[in-house]
Amino acid sequence: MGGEVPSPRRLTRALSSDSTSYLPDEALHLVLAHVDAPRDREAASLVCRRWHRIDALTRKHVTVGFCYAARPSRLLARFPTLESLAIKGKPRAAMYGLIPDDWGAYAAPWVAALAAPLDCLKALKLRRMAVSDDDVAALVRARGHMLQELRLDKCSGFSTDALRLVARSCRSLRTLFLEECSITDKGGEWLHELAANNSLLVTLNFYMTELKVAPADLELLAKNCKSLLSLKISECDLSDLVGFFKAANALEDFAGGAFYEVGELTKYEKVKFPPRVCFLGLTYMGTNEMPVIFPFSASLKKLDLQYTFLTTEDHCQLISKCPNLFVLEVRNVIGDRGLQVVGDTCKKLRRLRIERGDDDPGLEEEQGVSQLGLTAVAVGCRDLEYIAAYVSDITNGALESIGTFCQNLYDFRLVLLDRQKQVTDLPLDNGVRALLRSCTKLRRFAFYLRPGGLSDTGLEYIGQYSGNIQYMLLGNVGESDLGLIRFAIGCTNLRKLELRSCCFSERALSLAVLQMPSLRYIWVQGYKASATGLELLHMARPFWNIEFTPPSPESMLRMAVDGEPCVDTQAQVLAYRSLAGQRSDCPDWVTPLHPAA
Amino acid sequence: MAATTADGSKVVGGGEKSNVDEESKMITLFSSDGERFEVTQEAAAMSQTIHHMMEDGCVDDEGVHLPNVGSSILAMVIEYCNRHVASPDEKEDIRSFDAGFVNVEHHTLFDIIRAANYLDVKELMDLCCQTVADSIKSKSVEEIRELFGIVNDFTPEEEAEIRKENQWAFE
Repeated sequence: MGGEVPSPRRLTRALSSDSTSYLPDEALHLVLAHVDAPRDREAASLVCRRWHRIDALTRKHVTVGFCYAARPSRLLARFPTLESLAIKGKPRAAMYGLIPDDWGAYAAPWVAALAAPLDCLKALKLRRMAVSDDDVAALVRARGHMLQELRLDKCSGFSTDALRLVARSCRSLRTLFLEECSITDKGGEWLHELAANNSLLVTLNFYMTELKVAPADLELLAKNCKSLLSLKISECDLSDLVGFFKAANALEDFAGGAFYEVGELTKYEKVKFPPRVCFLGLTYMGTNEMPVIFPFSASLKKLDLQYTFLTTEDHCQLISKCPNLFVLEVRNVIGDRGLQVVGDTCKKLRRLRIERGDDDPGLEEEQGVSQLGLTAVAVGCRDLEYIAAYVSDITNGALESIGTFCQNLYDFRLVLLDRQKQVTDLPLDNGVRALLRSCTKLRRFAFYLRPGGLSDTGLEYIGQYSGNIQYMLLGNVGESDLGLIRFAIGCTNLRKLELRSCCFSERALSLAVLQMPSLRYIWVQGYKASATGLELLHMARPFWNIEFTPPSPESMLRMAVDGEPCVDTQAQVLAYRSLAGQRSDCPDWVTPLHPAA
Repeated sequence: MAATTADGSKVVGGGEKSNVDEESKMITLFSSDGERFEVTQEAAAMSQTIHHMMEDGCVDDEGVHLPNVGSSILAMVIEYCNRHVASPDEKEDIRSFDAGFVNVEHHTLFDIIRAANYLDVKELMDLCCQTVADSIKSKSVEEIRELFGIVNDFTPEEEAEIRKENQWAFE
């Protein structure tokens, strides 16, 4: 309850005294509870000690953007009542097999320091981290009864034994997310135990894992978990899921069931999807199987065709029946024709992903997608917020069109494939300038080209018009060190940068880093590396860790002959802001350059 | 037929009690500075504090004394409660009423928050706290301090440490 109301004279207080001191703590709690935006939370935490304390107590979720940036003990000290935590580990390159398993990003120190003391922890998400069975056991021991969400995203190092433990002990679990994890499969009992012990599950995802499960256990899960909304599984023949679909009445989101016997439509005729399904992804679906979707295609909001055997013509036919799509994920077999259909039909589209297909041209009908398809999509789908595309050809005009028509773009990623020898409209300087100038909401940007794809001027444009972009991945851009420096000067808000296959020197990289005031993380692979990386010390400064992976022996030999560095694909540089000092768990092929060991 | 009872208040009809009118179920509230406010029991019950008192039979013939709430603020709280029990379903009207209601200076808003906290009127607390939260949005640290007249009590080292954590480590 509150304290005294000030007497009438004190009501007319001077501006210089703290008016919020008259607010009881509970009220300030309630005020800050309504403050969600990260920037606002940051500001609130700096106002004064009282606000700092109450911000820490009312913040529901914290993300540790890079696990080596801070110590777990510091997180605990500042946010002792945290309910939800996310930690990110290995560089994104790990997703493309470029980071060996022993690189680091171990979950162990975080679990050891936090699992027990964080009394209110209900949700944990780890991305690209090394997680062992012991780590999961420690987590479950401390938090099992309270855990509502466990997300292990692209993690590795654990087995189904850990999942059994989770299944047995975490009876409050609503979300179990394991997408793209490398999990040692010691048997499918974990799913049976999950189905038997849990009745609250809403989301289960073990998509793109190699786990083998029994359809009967999925059916049991559906029967016991009436609120199951989302299920994404590893491969399992769709015809075995008839029972599951019958039981899973509330299901809205399904991915992973495979058509093992392509062409045998009679086998799949019995498959009836639950009535509310509107997010769908089916593996190995071919022309003959496609009709299973037709009855409810108009209610589909999300469609994943990345793992299907559909031709360009199939895509045209199917997508023309899906006018309510918000999210579409395809391979570039969709072709420009398919993208035209998307532009004509999918007026509500927000996210579009066009993955690369098999590079064997025999399997793909069309020559991939080009400026024609992208322009058609831009013109037709004005609500697009996310575009990721592997293209075979692109023009400045297409980039300009995207800028003109897709004003809501938040995330844009373009990769120019090596398929076509000649790409006529290079460099893309003017196109990228137009796109960046127009799309003021852009926060994430990736541009991966080929030599000649972007000149130093174009690279300078990217920096100049970077606006509020926080993350960039650039590959094969620019011509010289000068381009990089000019780019860096423009990037006032860039926080995270990944560079691949570029011609820049170590000295230029160092100087560029020093030009970017908001940069807290840079990763480079494929550049003119020296044997020792010592030129990187030009960017040495407090709270800035520099880790170096030397070039390949072949490149070292060439350097000895030529007297200067060549572009090497093996050398890597990782540099990042850290309050935890140099990390102590580097593998022997990574050399910490700063702080000195 | 009107008659005047011994204490001077008017009654209607015959033999009915004076201060608690059975028909519209009124209750009397006294502010810290002695002013008297008549409210319906329904409106008063929006205050969980008063609601519990009514339930526990702690409200006597005289009414409820609220030594922690001044008259001007109590008047506003009562206005809010009256409006919200009158037509709880007319969302548009209520929204524009609420918007006008919180359009006051910060120190008045804080006084209302204190009163709503003491009286435990959840909806009013939420409304006012949301308003204060909205006034913080997109402001810099210095702007927030100036808005509320808050003095920075961090040492420069402490402040620098928190800034680093915010920018580099914890989102």
